[in-house]
Amino acid sequence: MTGEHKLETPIGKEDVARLRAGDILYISGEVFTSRDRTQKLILENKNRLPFSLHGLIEFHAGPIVRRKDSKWEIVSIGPTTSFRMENNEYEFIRETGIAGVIGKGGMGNRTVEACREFKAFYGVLPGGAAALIAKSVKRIIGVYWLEELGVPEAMWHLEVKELGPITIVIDAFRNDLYENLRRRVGENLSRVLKSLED
Amino acid sequence: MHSAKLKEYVVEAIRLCETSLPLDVKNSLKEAYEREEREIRRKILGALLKNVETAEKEGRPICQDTGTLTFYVKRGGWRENELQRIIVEAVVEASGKIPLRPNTIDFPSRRNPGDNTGRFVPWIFWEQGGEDLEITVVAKGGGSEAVSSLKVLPATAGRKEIFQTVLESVAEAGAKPCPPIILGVGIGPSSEMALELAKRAVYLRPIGERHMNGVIARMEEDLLRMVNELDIGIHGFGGISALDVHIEYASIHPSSMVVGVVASCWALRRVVLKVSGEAVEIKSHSSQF
Repeated sequence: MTGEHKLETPIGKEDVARLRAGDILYISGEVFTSRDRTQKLILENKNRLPFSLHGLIEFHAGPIVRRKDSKWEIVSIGPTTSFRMENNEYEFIRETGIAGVIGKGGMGNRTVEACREFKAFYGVLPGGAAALIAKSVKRIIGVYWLEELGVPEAMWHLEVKELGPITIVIDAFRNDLYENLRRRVGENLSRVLKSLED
Repeated sequence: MHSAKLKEYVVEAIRLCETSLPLDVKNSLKEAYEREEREIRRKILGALLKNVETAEKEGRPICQDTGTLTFYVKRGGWRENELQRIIVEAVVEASGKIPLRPNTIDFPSRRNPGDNTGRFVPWIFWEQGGEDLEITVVAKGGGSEAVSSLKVLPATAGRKEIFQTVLESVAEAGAKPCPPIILGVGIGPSSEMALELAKRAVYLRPIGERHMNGVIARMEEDLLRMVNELDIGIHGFGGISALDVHIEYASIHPSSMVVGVVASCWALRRVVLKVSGEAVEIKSHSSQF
């Protein structure tokens, strides 16, 4: 059975522990974008940021923004391929105390391990649903390293309302829906290829 | 038509390309949604359709990755260098106006001019035939491009080897290209022809239309069924994996058959601008490719 959850940040460990792979989640509160080079800068400067990352959500994304009346505005924002961040994600979850990561496409074993050890989750947003997701962004609280990294890679600190639907792919109990996918597709591929022999 | 006027229409075609879906793609997604019964998959497909509606209504890009812009152009009576200039200027203007994400990086210097132009970009194909000017605009993002593949098979290879090559490529791609995908297969004598034909097969022919060659048409139907039997499904959660499979081919070389595999994410973005005299028509696909 699929469960549906609505959570507000900061998200506590007991809330994370209620999430199961396959559940649907909507998040309200604070999330921040982070990808590729952003993660390293955040780790190096996490004590200098004007807000705590504890219990917040890391969003693998690169938005389209525009200036309106000297303020930034999100035009479209959607998930980017998460696996590029696999190398740093374990350390990132451990060091920041975030409650979860959202992106698309899935993560690897080290992230599964980090989610279990530090009580976190990994979830995916519908890929390419950037106009819809932009509607759930209420405001940009701040932006960091914009000049250094450019628009897609800068850290955008956002206030969101009912960001979702997020499908929980990795929960805090070592379940990984995409690991099941790889197994299922592998088996199906063998079967289909075998049918070509006949 | 005056070139400044034409530029305005090209900007409009780019805007429509980035902020709406062609009718064939939208209908195919709607059909998939109506057929789907599982809750997670319905939620995701529903969000994708809602996203398209929002993008179209508010003029926001469908995906934050507004892709690499490619143009297929039948010149009509226009001069090539003039059309080239108009298209490049239209891309610059559209980048600021829509806006588009700055997606062109000059890699030796890592400089991003911020306007989606650069060395050889936008890439323009000059097409033969037709008395009217016809510009097809295609935008393809990085997520689906990351799973393109190419394999050189012996010329003696047949249906079985081609199918195996394609199915292995799709299985390896898994959930990465944002499925349900639209899959293109190009078969030819050389690597660039195979990939280009694969890309044309995906982007220029509407969903549901079969190849005019009966053998190829049958292969498309069989491959579509087999790709869906892999059960990668909507964003990797099972169900429909591909909305369609298109195959395009050229005569092969006596020693080699090159197979190119190209996927589009569910958000296949294509617009055709047709100009005859002062009359302008914007449509979702051309009947002549």
